[in-house]
Amino acid sequence: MSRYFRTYFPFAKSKILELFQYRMNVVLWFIAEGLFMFVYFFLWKAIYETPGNPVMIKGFTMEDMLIYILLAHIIGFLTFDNISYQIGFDIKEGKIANYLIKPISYRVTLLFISLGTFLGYLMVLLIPNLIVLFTMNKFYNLGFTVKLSDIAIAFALLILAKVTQFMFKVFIGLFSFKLTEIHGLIWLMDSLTHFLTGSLIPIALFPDLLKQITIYLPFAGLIYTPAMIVLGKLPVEALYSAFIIQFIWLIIFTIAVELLWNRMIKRLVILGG
Amino acid sequence: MIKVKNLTKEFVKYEKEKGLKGMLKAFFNAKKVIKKAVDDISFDIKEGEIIGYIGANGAGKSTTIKMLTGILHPTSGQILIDGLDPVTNRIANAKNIGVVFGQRTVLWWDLPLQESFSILKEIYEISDADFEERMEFFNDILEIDSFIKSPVRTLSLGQRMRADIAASLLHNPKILYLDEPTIGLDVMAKEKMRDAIRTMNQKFNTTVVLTTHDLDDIEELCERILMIDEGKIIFDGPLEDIKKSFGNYKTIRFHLKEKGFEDIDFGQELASAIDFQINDDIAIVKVDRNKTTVTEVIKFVLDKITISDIDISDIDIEEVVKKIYQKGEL
Repeated sequence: MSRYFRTYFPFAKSKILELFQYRMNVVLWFIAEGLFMFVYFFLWKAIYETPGNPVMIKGFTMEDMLIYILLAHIIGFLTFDNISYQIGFDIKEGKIANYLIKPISYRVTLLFISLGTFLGYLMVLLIPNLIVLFTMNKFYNLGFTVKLSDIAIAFALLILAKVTQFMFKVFIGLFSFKLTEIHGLIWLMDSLTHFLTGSLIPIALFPDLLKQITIYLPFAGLIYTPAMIVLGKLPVEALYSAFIIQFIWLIIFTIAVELLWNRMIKRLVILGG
Repeated sequence: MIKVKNLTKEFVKYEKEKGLKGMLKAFFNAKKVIKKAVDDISFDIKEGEIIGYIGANGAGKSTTIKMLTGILHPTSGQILIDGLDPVTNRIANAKNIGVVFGQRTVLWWDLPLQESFSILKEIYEISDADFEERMEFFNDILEIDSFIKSPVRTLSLGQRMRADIAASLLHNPKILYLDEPTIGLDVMAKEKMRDAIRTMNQKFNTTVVLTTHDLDDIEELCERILMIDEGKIIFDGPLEDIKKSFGNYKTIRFHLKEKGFEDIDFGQELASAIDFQINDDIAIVKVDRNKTTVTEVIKFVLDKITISDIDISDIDIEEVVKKIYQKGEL
């Protein structure tokens, strides 16, 4: 196990080094996405403050909603991963050859690259994110308090969801063996999951049928459920089922990736060079 | 060391017709075309040999190398590398091989060069002592110390290639695959690359498979040549054999000052020994040295016409391949 870690951790490390090498890029991206966060924040604030609108929408007070928006965006920042692009790029440009000539597994390598991305963003962005969260909390009197046990549970679910997300993204990425150019597919999947993770609006606000379906999909565990845990708004039964659903999806995607990889690697074509 | 039997690789290509209409048509119903990149080839390579694997662009060289290294899966046929099948035992096989692709780098593009080496050290489980010793060795022959702290993307092509070959040799592989390692390099850099390859071969008896378009690489390094064209091996033997048949050609380029080259009467004997074509103000003359000499031809031409400059060159490898292919075999 430690041997395993020693072999592959350099890939995570090199990703972290890369992020630090181009940290200005990360900061600019953070600012750009942060602007969207403020747009949503003030949009919801305006909706709640419009005279005649209810004080509570489907169990969310204005304060709940604003905290949810902040949390959802922060989790979104920290779990950002573009591993599908990496796979698409590796295959289209033939860079996958670099991995295949080494005594390493490409899929495990990807996992560690993804881990590096996660740790890198955590190091660069966690503190600025927390500063934004607590400043807004204080300034707008949102009354958000941290409960460490909730944070720990949310984090555990988040890790499980993150690995599931990784497997899902590898699954999508592997289609570039067949399609060569997968930007379109990635965009489609990103906009779908963006909505289904609850990062635009809480899943609790979805119409009933859609809500029922979404809860059983693998995406809610990435943003909606952890945010709800931290907000203290998730019933205990829902918490257990969230873990179980997430785990089942992880197994499904792992098997899917295995099958797809074994099929696709045979059709690898690298032209020129 | 390397045993290849009836190796074939087919690619499926989707052919598109011209223009927007063709693209639309292909989007719904593309025509499938099967292309044999490597067609039923067999060869054996012994330990410690340096093989020149040559052929024109698109002949199937790189595809063969990619199958030998385990990157591509053969459509049919067998490969055994030191007793291992590179497809089913890719990871075990990868420990024994070093690979340099001239056109791409195995180094970490955005990181300082030394980071790439320390990452490779971990991947190949190289001990500290071995690592130190080998880095010193590479520094002696490839002089990489001067740019080891620079990010790879800032290196010149020559520096990057030297770093790449050092990276491929770091774990002291039994077999080294070099796919056009001297492409685009200047004379000095080429010399350093060849030195490194020769030294490794002599010191560790490393088997080397080298593809190149540079006849000098072959002449300086390889005793044996494998030649491939349109996916088939068309020649397998010592360099001497090729030289005997084709090394006796030279090309002379006359830079003409006046018109009228085509009207020169070479006489029957000389005309049968040369072959020429004229591009603008340059006349390219191919001389068969079995029948005449280069000086003879130059002297003859200088007598008839005013020339501003002359270069003489050996026939290049693509030309040789073309000639061999036209004749069928040697």
